[in-house]
Amino acid sequence: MLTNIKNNHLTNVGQRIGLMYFRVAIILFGAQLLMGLIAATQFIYPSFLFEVFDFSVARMVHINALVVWMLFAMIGAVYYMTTDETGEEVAFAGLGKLGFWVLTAAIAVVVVVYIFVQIGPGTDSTIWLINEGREYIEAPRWADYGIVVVVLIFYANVFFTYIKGRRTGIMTVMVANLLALAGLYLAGMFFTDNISMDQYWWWWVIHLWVEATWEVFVGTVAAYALIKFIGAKREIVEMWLWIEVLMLFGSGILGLGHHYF
Amino acid sequence: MAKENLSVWTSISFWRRSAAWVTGFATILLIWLTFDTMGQISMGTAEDLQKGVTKRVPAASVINYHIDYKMSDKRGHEVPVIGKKEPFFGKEWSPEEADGLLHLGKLTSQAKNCMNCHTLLGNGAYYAPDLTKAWLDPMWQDGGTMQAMTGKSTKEEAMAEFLMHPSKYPTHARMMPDLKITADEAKGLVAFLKHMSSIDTNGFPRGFSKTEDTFKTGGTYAH
Repeated sequence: MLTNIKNNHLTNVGQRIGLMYFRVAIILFGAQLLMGLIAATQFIYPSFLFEVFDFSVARMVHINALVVWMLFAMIGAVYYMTTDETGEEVAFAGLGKLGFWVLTAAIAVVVVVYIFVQIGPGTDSTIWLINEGREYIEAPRWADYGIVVVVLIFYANVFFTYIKGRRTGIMTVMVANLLALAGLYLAGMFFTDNISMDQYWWWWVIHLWVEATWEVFVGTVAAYALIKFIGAKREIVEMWLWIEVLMLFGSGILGLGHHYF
Repeated sequence: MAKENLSVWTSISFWRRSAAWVTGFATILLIWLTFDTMGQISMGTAEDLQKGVTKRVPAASVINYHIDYKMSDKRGHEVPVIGKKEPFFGKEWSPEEADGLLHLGKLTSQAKNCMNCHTLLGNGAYYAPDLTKAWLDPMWQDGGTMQAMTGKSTKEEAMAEFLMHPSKYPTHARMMPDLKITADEAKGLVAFLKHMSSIDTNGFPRGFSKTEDTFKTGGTYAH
């Protein structure tokens, strides 16, 4: 597999789409580092870029780049392994590529607006067009809807490939987990005057992503990698994957409560 | 496969079923708890305030009342105490006006990206002070440093003036940038802060009263 990547001999579309996502993920990781360095400098010299590129802006781009590079890497990883696991070619390859370009363009526009417009007046149009001002999910509402559409395309691709092909334990966990991961994003797409209510549902996205669905995601990719890289026995790996799902969802879902006062 | 039934502990189907049951159980419990929480944190009404009904999150018209933060021996931490009526920006706001002002304030707090420096209800960037109980901070009160600095005679006017021209009133090496907040938006933000200070946060931030002495001598949260 590694030789394949080095020689760029990827013959199937899923793996090539995967690599498209990985490239953007690496660029966004670079953006995260750069913004982190600016914010870190502001911790030491608070007047650095004061009222030009304030801490709030640097940090917003920093944490959003983090969220988005991880999502890009995740989507890329799923495209990469789906063909291999199911033994089927990606169901809608053209749509998959279109989704990639739409998502990448949307992210670019969001970042440019973050950097050059930064903030707006206290009106609905700011929430819709500039930024939503909610930590980690600052993306303006138009982008939220765009993300939902692209993620639906992605999910349809994975789901129909899964249905057609070999339904391994790893892919079953992946398909179920991705549905939860995508669905949870909807909990962050509304406005309320009640800050307690706001934060309650905000944690549904943030906590149930990071401490439930993302962790299970990593377990799934790790299971695939163990089989591929060191030739671990599939039966043993999949058994442990189910134990992981049990422990992560069992503790992670209710662990949501530890954020609330 | 002859070895299939060797032990239940190595059976994939056993763990698959267990994972499904545990996840289902946790999810149902979470949904049930969510219904309970929705009841507890939904906003009260203006009538609740008039009748003295205590809600964890009072109505926006709480801006018309004096808010105190007192130690409750029963609960072991401070709780907001809603007192007598007091003017807010020199007047009493009708329930509709108060709702509108809180709406503008909450919207502005998001539009100006407050949370990427400050924290609200403990959530945010920890670069600038936590604003959960900012309204109760003694530095904004009569005789406090901020009223003297801004030349205003009420808490709300001092806060609004600071919000409109923050870099004119440096309080710390880390200054708040000018975010082009208008006079109306500033009023809304102060209403939002006053409303937030009336939320029963089960004692968050811990030991607020203890830090009052630090505030009075000019200290801040931002360390």
